[in-house]
Amino acid sequence: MSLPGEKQTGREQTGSSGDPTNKGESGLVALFFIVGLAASLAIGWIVFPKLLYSKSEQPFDFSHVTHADAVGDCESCHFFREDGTYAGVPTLAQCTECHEEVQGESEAEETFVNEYVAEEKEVPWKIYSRQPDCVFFSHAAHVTGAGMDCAECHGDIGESESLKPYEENRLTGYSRDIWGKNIAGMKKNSWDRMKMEDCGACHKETMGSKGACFQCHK
Amino acid sequence: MKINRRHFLALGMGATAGTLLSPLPWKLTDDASIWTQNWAWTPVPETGEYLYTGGACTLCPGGCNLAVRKVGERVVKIEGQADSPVNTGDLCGVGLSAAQLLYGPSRIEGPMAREGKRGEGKWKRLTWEEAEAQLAKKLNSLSDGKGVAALSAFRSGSVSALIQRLLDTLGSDRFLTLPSLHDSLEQAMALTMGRAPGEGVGFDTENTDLILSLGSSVAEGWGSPVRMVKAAGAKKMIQVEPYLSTTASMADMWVPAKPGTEGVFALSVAAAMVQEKLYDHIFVSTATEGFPAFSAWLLENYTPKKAEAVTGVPPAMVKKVAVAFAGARRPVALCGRGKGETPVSLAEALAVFALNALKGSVQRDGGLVKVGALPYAVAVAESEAMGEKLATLTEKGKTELLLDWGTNPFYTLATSKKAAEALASIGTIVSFSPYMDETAAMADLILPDHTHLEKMQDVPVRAGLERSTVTLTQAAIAPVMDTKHTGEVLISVGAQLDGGRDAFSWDDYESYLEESCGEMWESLSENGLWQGDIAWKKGLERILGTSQRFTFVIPEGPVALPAEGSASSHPLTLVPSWSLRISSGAVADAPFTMKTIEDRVLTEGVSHVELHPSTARKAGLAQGDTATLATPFGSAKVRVTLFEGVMPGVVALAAGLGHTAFDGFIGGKGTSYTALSGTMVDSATGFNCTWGARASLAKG
Repeated sequence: MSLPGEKQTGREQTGSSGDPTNKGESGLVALFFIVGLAASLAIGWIVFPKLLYSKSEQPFDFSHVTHADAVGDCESCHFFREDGTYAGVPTLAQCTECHEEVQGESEAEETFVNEYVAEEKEVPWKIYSRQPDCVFFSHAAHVTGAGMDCAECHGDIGESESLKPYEENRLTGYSRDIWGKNIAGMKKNSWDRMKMEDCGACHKETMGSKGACFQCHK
Repeated sequence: MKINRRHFLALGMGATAGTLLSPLPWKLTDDASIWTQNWAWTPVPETGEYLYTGGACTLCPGGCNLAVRKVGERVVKIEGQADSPVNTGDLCGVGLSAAQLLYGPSRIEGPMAREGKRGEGKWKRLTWEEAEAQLAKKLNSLSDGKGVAALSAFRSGSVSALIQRLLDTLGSDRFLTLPSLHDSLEQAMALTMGRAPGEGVGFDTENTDLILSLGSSVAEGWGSPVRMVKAAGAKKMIQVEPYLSTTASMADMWVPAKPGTEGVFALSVAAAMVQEKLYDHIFVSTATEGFPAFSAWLLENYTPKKAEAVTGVPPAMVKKVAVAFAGARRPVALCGRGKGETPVSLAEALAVFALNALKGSVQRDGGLVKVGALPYAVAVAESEAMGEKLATLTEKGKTELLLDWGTNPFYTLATSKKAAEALASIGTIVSFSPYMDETAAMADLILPDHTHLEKMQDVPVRAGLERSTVTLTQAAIAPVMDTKHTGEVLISVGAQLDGGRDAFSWDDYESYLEESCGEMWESLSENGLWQGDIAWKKGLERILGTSQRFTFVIPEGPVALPAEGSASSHPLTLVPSWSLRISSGAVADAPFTMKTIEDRVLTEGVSHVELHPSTARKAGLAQGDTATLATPFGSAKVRVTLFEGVMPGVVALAAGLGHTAFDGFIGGKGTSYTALSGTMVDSATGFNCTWGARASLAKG
């Protein structure tokens, strides 16, 4: 609203659409719209993910291929303990069974043997697929019980030659792999993301029900 | 070209549209919602392989075996050991929350000497050499060893034997333990069934078919808690108690007798059994002595009608109980109010023995049984006149130096303001507590022991089990603090005493432990448990039945001890209420367990008293009111909770609260029942057998 006597601005000053001088202006308005649209799309799709995630390298590189060739299968290193619990990422003691001395020529192995084996220090691996603490997840139920393959959730990690950088969500502290690489949350493969809906969808499909809250959130 | 507001609006609209078409708002919303729930303080156990070590709990006398779960060098969970005959895989809340005590802020960092005033909390850290030398020097400097008293968590066992040896070297006979129900029961057993030193009393609740509980909190921690909770759930039960406790609510019959008169009630049931000829004639005529005189005394003084004046229980109800007790195949009568932490009068214990004997429930399956002495190679001589010696502790000027190993007398023996003052006037106080308990806080010298999860030590169990039992604590992890096994400290200090070198010649505690446990060691070290034979099932007795003789004894002292004070100034009666979730012994609950206490018992750090609505009406009180609870021994601010399950005229206060030391999660919460309970000395034993106190309750 304008005050009486004040110079009128805004809407009332704009001419009709038939005014030729305004044609160029509406083109300019459209341009501004497009600039705004493009900039925010760029921010949302490109800048935002870069800001949201911090990137860090693993303590040293690791080739699943080399190891799988040497030991044969996933279970040799990622095994179930006698009590049925899943051992997860191998501990130093397990690795040391083979790597007490440097065996090959890779720089990574040298780092491992000198900095960790010699110092008896556990390797602080950053785990891509670690679910948050509020989630109870049992590998035994899925692998031993339901007979699922590692790859159904972990994809082709077993065929990786080297380790990708670990990306951590600055807000939540979760690994990027939980939400998935695709910032829009789109997935092509079952292992692309592992949020609650993904667990639920698979459970719904295979078991007919998403399951109850307390099954995972104990 | 002029850029105006329209262009900015277009830019803004474009930006809005673009943002909405990008994942930013949706992803950010999701992340923000997760972020709001990411609390840094949420305790998350270590992940990794589970390792289990065995162990034993010492937080109460129950003797439960533990399975301590670890990840790496961190204790993450405590469970009951699955194959333990004592607790069969289960554990109470207090026992399993010990992991929090282990890492909690109430732990003492290392040996310390007092710097400021007593109880001020100013300490000087010492090395272990300095601390031990200081204690040895102090002990050597005493003119007379008689001024030294020592309180021990156990009556027997390896460390107790060392404590007694230390006192012997100093020339003191004041080896003390906190008295319990078992001290009364053992004296009653000596009179009725005969007792060799070290022998104890057990109740074969596994094989019984009816438990007549005379005020015992069977489901709230009496005896060995897991065992008894299971019994309470499985057996027929008659509960005699002025308060509708969990036990009473689980019982088949609840008999609200006036507080402190459970023993008289037992005698009235016995009298009814005699009157109605419901007793076991064969057992009484073949295996007992003194029945004619005893039954005559019963019928003269304790017929249900006469007893009603004392107990308030109508004769019909007494008869009903007598019929049920006599009609059961293998019933057993238990006594010891609450958790059995307080002795009962000798007369009351004798009444319960007599009641069991009338039904032949002694030395047989499901009955009251004799438990063999523990075959320690280093025995602890039984302390004569323990009741009087304990009373001396709370008399001013009688004690020059007090050693406390796991009894926390400033909480457990401070039954009145006067008693607390007397304890505080003791010349030198030495605490071996791993936790900053009330006694450690008042100590001059603290030589902290390991907790039961950090050391190996024998635990003689005195909890009414049917056979003699010793468990073994084990070091699940390396000590968290700079603590030292009290056994090691005693050996080291003992050797520094004048004339102590020969008496304490062991290299270390571990070799001494093995030696002291004698024949029990093999089983103890292998299984974490040693159990003796079931005495009444030995040899021929298994076939022929018991050869045990029983003497009916007419008690000399009063069965029901009167409460001190006048009815005009203190018209109500204060009784304790008990909970499986509140540790009422020397060590307080862990912070986690404190959070499980119901709002009707404790809110905002203030204890609630429970009373019948009619009692409250008379006192002009309503639900939630703040009131002052006063007994002849002290007073406290409390809140009022109305509960129809409390006898009119009775006020119930949860026992085990009101710790003043430990840490902010444990201490300063509620009121200590003990501090208000005062003393009721049983003339026959000298023990304080208090069951409650006269009390008044006024608004404000």
